[in-house]
Amino acid sequence: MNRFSSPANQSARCPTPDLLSAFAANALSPGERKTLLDHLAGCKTCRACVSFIGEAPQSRQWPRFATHAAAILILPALGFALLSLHRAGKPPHLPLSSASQTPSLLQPAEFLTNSLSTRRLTQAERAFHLLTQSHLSSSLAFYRKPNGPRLVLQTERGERWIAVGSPFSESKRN
Amino acid sequence: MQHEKDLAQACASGDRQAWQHFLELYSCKLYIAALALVEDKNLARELADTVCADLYCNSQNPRSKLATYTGRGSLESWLRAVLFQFNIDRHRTERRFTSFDDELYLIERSSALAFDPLVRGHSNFEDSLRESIRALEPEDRFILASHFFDGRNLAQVAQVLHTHASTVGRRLGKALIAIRRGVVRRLSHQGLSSSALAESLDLFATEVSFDLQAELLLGVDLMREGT
Repeated sequence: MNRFSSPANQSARCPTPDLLSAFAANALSPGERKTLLDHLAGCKTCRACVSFIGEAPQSRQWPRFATHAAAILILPALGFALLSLHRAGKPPHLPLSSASQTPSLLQPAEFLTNSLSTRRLTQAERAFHLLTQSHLSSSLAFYRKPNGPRLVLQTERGERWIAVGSPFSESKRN
Repeated sequence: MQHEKDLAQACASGDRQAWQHFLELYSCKLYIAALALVEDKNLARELADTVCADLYCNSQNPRSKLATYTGRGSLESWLRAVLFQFNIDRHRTERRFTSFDDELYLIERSSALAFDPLVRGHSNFEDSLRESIRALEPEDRFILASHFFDGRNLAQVAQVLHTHASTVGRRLGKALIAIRRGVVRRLSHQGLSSSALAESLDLFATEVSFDLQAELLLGVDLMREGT
């Protein structure tokens, strides 16, 4: 079948719409492509036709845009969900203004078992742990220092403080 | 694109429901494409309707053109090609009836040019230029024609060829160098000296209207240096 002959075309040697649309979709074999390009190089009308076909809105552009849009929407939502899950796993926030209020709310052994089995200790849990280690013979205080809040544990051996709001750190003051 | 092919085949076989579905999907796109082509609302509507009527299969038109759609490209691009070719055919038909005087003028002008001594003097040069262009790969010739004769930029040509603009730019540069070398080689074989060749290139670029003149002028200095 001669794909360059179409009875509807005035110029009988011009390619058929099927061939032109296949060229626009980059679906031609190398031989067909070469033959068509040979014709296009000398036929201004068909060059204009190919260009006109290419001006149609490309459906391929939408998924690329959609991927970016989905990434913009989904990633923050995913981050927020992970943060919520992380917070849900933490123990209830306890007032740390004085030692008399804190350790009695939970059984230390049970609390520590649960905490240690699931994740690493937070600063507050570390304070509870230290409290239990010192057999409740210490006091807990919460201070605001210039370089951030500090949880201070006073024991018989001296004063130990833990930074709050930063990766776990511990120091010992005598 | 199998479903598009199935739809086209169903429409071509006279399925009314398929035709309704086809109209729902593509009549608006056809109108928009026609509007982009003729830039007149009434004419665009007329053109889109005529193409639709041409594609419709009934007892008067048992062989719809939709039967020739093979599904290798999208149906939308196929329709755009049909619309474009239909518009060209319509334009040519109208022109045949209205501008016969213009065609006569063109014939007279071309025959006058054939006897113009200046043009005749450059016929060797034009012949070598044409031969050099013909010796290029089809894709290079397409790039050359699209860029210089149709005035399309590299990005537009690249979009048609499914490649990058920088690739088209590289190929264009190589094609121009090949053309210049081809012209020089062919004219040298005809016995033209290097000075006569440079003069001929100068004269051609300034006197004869040709789209490649700027690029050829750029090459004149290079050739002078080379020879």
